[in-house]
Amino acid sequence: MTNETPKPKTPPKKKTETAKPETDHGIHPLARPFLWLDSKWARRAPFWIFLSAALGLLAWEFFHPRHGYSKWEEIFGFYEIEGFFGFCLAVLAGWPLRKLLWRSEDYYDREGSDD
Amino acid sequence: MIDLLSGLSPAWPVLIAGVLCAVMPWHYARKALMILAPLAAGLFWFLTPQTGVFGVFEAAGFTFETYRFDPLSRIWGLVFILAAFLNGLYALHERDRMSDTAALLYTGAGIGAVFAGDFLTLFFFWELTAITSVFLVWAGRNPSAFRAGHRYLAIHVLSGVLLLGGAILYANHSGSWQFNAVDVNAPGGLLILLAFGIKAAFPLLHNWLQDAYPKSTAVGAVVLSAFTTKLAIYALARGFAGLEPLIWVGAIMTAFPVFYAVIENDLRKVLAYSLNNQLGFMVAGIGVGTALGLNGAAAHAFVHIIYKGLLFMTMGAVLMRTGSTKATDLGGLYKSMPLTALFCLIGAGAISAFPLMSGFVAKALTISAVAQSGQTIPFLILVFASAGVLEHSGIKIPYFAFFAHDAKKRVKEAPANMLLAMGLAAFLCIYLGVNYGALYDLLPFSMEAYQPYSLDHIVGQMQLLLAALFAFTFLVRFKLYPAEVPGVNLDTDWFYRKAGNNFVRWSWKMFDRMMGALGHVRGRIRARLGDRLFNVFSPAGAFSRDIPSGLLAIWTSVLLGIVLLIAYLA
Repeated sequence: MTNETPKPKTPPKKKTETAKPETDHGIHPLARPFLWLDSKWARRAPFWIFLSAALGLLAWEFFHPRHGYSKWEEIFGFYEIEGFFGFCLAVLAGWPLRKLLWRSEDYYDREGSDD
Repeated sequence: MIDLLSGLSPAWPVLIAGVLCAVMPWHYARKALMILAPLAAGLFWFLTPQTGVFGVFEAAGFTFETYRFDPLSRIWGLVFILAAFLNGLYALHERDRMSDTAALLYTGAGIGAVFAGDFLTLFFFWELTAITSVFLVWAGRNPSAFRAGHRYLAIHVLSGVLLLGGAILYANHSGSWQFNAVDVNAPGGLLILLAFGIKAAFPLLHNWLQDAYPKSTAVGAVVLSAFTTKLAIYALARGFAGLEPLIWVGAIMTAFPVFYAVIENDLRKVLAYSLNNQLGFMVAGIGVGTALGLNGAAAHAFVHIIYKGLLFMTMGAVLMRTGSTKATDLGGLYKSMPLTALFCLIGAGAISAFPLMSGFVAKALTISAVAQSGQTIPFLILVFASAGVLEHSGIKIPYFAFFAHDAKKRVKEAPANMLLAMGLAAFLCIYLGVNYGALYDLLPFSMEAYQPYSLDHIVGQMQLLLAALFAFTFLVRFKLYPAEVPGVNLDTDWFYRKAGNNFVRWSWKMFDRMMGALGHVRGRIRARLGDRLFNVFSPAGAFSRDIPSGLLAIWTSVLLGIVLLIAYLA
């Protein structure tokens, strides 16, 4: 008869460092190589990428002035100005417009409406 | 056999397939029809040897031209057939006889209207598109879709009635029922323009589109997005090319949906606003009316049907898998639907007019045409709206559905048939952008002199897009981009859904009360007057004490007196 002392049960090693992320469950195989899109740097990078590209094209225009159909097109940086400020106008107008036009989801479904 | 087919409108095989679908209980047979009918229509289109008017018949003293095949109708007919095929493929999984039937009949009606050579044939198919397409809205099968369908039907039938009324006046004036260029100042001309404007979703007449399309099913919205509005654009191009105010109408159409799309939470509604915006480019091109402008409208309609259909398809797949297309419910779906996300990005790239995408080679024509026409402010609005397109369709749709914050929805990828339809549409978005000659060859006017890939054009467009993309990252980084919020935004439909509805209810209640009060007063008057008359004229009344006469005798005397008076005066 062997007098073996039972080994104290050691809790299983936590796999926090090596385990696959929780989101891996149910992820399509084709999407796995692109999970880096969720990382912080990938979310910050577009700001700098688009800024650099926009500035690069502005520099290009400086050396190769455009000849367009309209005299407006010949203003230096016309498309970048309209692209940036036009986009900002459309988005920033959303704040006052939402205050003015927003209603709850059941607005038209209340009694007396919409039928 | 080929000679026999060559004069038949491609609408017929699709319409016949639609009728067969209505009586066919077998799912697979219906699906086969949905694929085969557009193929047959395509065969009819290809077998038509030359331009001309075919399928002419006379009835009730009118001449009906069912198949006018000319450079303008040719391109619209082809893209309608192409869209029908893609839609059939996309709908393969859906078991809904009503939807299958409506989709085919609606498509057939759209093709028929495009090839109509006279106003009466146009009116017939115009109304048929309305009556059949409403079933696609009702296919949503919920009270909201049901009510939206009613509103949609009322507005579209009104458009048809205006068209018929305008056509009658116009034909009386011009002596012909032929549907060609319409003089807007002639009797009926304005009514016809209004009829087309309703269907083309002109500003203030537009909201049926955002009301109805997002309430349809995944498949229904895809089918709806292809035909109605583009049929109206065709009709405008045929009837009102060169009508200058259309440049302004188009410019406004491109701009105002941009603001609505920013604050809209339902991504299919965002696409509906985006559709409005795209129609604006086409209307502006038609307003310019030059060969370049009309080519721009035609090219834009062609590529738009494909990439807008693709975007609706991707949102349909999202709706099918997640049960919602609201930005607040979505995010991170690229992890479970990567192919759908890829196709959505291609559609977004095409609609934003990135080089090597179909939107680039089409939109360039319209904007160049407006710039050449010397219309400075509309030109500036169109360029602004191009940045707006990038905001709502290029960024918002793919970003909030497939990226942004992860909503942890782990769903299955779209079914194979949906992926195949989306894949084909995505392929066309790139193919037409690269091999743009294939598109330009279909246009109504020769495009030999036009070169879309000039260095100035590429650099200018990339500057616009990159500056706008930078603006997006800038606004997000500094938390200036409005967060998505569930809710509805008031638009012109408020006037009939809320104000008009409340007014009618209030009027009805007031009328009801008034009738009640009047009834009460009338009763009292009758009782009092009756008593007095009785006291005076009854056999026991005051009159009868000396002269025995009843009430009837008095009235007879009064009537005779009136007759005598009239006879005397006459």
